[in-house]
Amino acid sequence: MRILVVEDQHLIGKAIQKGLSEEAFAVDWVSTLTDGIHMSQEHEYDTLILDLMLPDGSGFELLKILRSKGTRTPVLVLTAKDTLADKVQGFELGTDDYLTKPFVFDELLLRVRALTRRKYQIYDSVLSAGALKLDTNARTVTVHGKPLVLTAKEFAVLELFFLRRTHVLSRDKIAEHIYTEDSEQGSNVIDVFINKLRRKLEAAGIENLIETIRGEGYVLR
Amino acid sequence: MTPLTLRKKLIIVSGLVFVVLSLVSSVILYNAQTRQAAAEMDTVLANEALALSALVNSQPEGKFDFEISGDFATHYVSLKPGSFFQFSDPKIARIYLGTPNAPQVSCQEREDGKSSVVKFGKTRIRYRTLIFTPQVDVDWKGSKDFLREPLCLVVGLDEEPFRSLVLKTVATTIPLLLFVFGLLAAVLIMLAQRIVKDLSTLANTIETADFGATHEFPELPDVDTVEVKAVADKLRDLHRQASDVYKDMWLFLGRAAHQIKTPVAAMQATLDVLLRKERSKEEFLAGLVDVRSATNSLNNLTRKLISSSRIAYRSEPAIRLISIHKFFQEQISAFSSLAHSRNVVLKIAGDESLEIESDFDLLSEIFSNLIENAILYSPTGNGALVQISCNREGQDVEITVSNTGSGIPENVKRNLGAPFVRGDERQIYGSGLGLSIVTGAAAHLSAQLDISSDSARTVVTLTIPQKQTSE
Repeated sequence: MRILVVEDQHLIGKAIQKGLSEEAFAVDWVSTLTDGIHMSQEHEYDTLILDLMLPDGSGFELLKILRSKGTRTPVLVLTAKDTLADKVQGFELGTDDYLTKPFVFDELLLRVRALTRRKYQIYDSVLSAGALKLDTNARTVTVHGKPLVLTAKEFAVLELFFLRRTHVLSRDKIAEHIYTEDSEQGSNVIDVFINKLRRKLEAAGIENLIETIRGEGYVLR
Repeated sequence: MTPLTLRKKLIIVSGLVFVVLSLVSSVILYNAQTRQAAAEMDTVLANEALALSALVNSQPEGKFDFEISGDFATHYVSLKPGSFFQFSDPKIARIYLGTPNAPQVSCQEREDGKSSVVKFGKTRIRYRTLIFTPQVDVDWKGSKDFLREPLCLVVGLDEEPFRSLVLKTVATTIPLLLFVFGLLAAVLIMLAQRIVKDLSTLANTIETADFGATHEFPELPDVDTVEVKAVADKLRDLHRQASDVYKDMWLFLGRAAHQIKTPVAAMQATLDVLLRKERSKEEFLAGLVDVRSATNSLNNLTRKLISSSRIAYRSEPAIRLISIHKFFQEQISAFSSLAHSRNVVLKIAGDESLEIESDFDLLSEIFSNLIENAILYSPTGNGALVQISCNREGQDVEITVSNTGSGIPENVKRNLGAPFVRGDERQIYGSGLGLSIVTGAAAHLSAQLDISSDSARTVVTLTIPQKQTSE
């Protein structure tokens, strides 16, 4: 899942990026409102983590722009502003969640996952397809109760298939969700991931779960 | 002793005025009545003397054998008549008259016509002494032996009836006086209460207010008295000022807390992520470096907060002679590490022998912040220069700290000196308290602070007066 972090405090932004990346999120981090507006319009994010007190303006400006354009990307406001008035303003402008600093990273992570699922209108943290189960919180995959070891990127691709089940996902769409702005990937890297994933699933007894739609992409059946 | 209220004081003063006026008026009245009684007695005595004189001159037989009558007869009789009509020589009583040239007796008063007082036991007698002198016609053939001695006659009057009359008059007048003065005192008290009413209302309102518990200043009453209205208006104004200071204090505290939150949040986020899984030694050390960086920010912030507090509550500057060159060498030495890390060159220019009379601690607060800001807001890389120059300008000493850089935005310039305002909000460095501390310390030294900035350079000039501080 791809996350945009708009945070001007260097150490906080760095820690969030590192922590979420280690949880298989593709994280873009910018530190100004201008860059935040630019990135949010250039890419489709699964969740946006937004600081309010940015050097070139309020994070609420970005929120207004997003909502005025009808973008429904979940937004989590992460700020030191902790008054009720600030929170009310945030929710009135269309934020989906509000977390005040200092914060516990695990809480941020759980909220981001919940928001990401909500975007795809999925409310259960455990997603399943027959004997295959994917726990979005525990970051585990099991087949008939036995764990299936996947890399972070493989997990991210499988999670995306679960979240967009029955939808045909193009290679670009998949890449958009698992790679950041700075990542360098070849044109066939998604195909390589899909093949590896298929092999691991087949080894665990799950066959033909991911179907290739020629000329379009892949779909989870 | 419990202080008296204004109302009680006015009542007591009115009462004292009443008592003093009554006593003084009674004394004046008594004296006036006494003088009037004496004058009346003198008139009576004078008339009596004239009557006696006429009587002497009209005696056909040359014998004083007159009859005492009238209102005073009783007194004459009861008070030893001999004492009242005393002839110096009884023979004078036989004056031969009867011829046209018979001797006449002239009458004049002794002691310049003044009455005197003599006491007989408890009785006070007011008396006048008359001298009758026979004056013989030159053609008179009779014996002159009988006519040579003057006749002395004393006319007296008992004072007691007059004194009783005086006392009676005074006694009947005093109640009237007391009534008049009582009325005056009551009017005075009413007026006083009317005057202090507004003041009392204002005082009661303020007295019953509990600002400490409610933080609400009482609604002051509308008053008519001009002076009290001025006091109430001033109180409202002072309250507004106090409220602003109060709000500023809480605002400062809130901003300080927000500033503290940032490094704390950074530390917590870094540690949370670091401790979520097994890390290599290098990865762990990199995380600790980030935590250390956040700790430095926190340390710097708390140091600045303590400095702000010290500046705000500092007493009179401790003035002493300071070698400016040596002072700045020490400052530069303290910042050499920071300057080196950012490739900034620090340089001192100006008169090396210059000495200044000032407060060492305040100067340190000012220039440590100015030099730190100059380094932090200089562009990193070769060529960045922070220059300090010191010169004497007449009676003043002018010290400038200049740095190259992007300058201070116009919207920020207006609020420079206020707490938590940064010269460049995009910078992650700085607490936003440095210039606030500089402004406060400069004010303690009565020094003038000027900041000029354009797109290439920022120059901060501190002009420190010398005569004022050394005298």
